Amino acid sequence: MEIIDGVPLIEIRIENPLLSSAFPESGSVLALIDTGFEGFAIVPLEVFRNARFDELKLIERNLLMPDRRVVKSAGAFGRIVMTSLNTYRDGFIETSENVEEVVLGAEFLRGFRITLDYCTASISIEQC
Amino acid sequence: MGTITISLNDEVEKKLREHVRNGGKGALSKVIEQALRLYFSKIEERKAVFRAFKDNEQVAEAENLEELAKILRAKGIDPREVTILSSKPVKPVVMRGWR
Repeated sequence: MEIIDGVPLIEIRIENPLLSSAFPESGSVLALIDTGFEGFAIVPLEVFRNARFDELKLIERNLLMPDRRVVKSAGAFGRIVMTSLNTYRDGFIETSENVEEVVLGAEFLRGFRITLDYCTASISIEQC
Repeated sequence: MGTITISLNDEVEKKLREHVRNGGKGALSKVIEQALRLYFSKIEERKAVFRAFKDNEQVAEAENLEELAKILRAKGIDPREVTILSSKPVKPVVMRGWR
């Protein structure tokens, strides 16, 4: 877990327990923490498909962008595993147009105490 | 009724003692118990329950997706045929970055 170029990043794995699939299949992927995103997790379409979320019945909703545009998203319930803490959270994982990285939002962060140390460019996360 | 010995930060202890100063016997325990009940209820609120519906009928319920998947498998139900809902509803509109 670290802060790179001012961006807090943590290592996670995205799992689809309902279809026994995951992204990546082995190892982990870096996710960006964005407290400006109210949701749980939003991922690129390719990641969403690799984890086979697109095979489940999807829920659609609207994302209110900073420039006031409303963008559609679609998602399903999945699992985010925090590999360094060996813990997980189940929640709504969605995808939308122009999503280029894996982003974890405020809904995911509930239940954690997170410290962003920009002096040492490090992050610590612990459960409440 | 159990008895627990705890250590508190000086500032918290001072506030607690001031708060119960005129409360009489048992006031300290009562405040601690109420605070803990509130704390536990907040933790409980965070727990979600996931429910699976097929043809508008609930077919499974579990506290996590892995358990839900197991129940569906045991019942021979394809997860792709069900609608999964959470006790924490998906908001219809969410902010994707602050203005």
